[in-house]
Amino acid sequence: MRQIIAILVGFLLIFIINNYSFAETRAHPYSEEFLLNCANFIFIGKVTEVEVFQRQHRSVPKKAQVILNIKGELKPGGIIDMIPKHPGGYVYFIEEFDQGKIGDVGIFYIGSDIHGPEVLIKYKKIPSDWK
Amino acid sequence: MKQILVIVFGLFLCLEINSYIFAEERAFPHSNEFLLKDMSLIFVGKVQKIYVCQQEKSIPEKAEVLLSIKGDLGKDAIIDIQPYPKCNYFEEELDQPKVGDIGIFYVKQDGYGQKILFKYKKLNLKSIR
Repeated sequence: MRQIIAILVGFLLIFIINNYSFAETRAHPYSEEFLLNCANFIFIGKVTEVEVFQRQHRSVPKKAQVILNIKGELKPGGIIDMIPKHPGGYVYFIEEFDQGKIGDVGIFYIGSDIHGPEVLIKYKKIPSDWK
Repeated sequence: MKQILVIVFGLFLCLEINSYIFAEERAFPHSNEFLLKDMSLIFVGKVQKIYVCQQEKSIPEKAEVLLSIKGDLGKDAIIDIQPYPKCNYFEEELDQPKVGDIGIFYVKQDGYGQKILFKYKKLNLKSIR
């Protein structure tokens, strides 16, 4: 009887640990089709605040000012808060993310049913010296 | 024989005139939803060349792709663009371009392979400062 209880507790523990240590595992970046269909908001904006993940050497935009709206109801000039995915538990593909730097202008894809409404799912800087 | 030639020529003329005077009647600008769904190419690009449609109305004729949003476009690709019939744009759909300006381009490829510009909006950082 004790052995059965011990096995059950073991299973329960494994289940709990597995849930808490969830890590995203994707082999490829999201497709253009997925992003255009599933992202709640897509806009071109200016990075106003970043979150720095020292251990992973990654800087991710946390706040941005809207310049041009592409999808969703966003007003130009408005400040948008977003939740950066933790690089310890989520995949960051080169095709999906550039390092965030305050003042940079880029394209933001925010929120989906899978990630949650405010999660930043893609950010690419506009590569130019046009400022 | 002459009569047949005159008729054929007349028909050809009618066809040409018809295509030139064709103007789409729209009450509203295209919505973002329509553009996202229906366009074949959406990209952030730099204006390379301008085409003057009408007096005080010009459109980008050539653009360099900086960042692709929709469509298979490589970075640094140069895209040749044709205007909408009769340059029939709403104010919300077309900013007056200048060579070197950066903006977002909504382009649809027609059956003849021509890339028609549906919308061009300039990225204006000064407007949000």
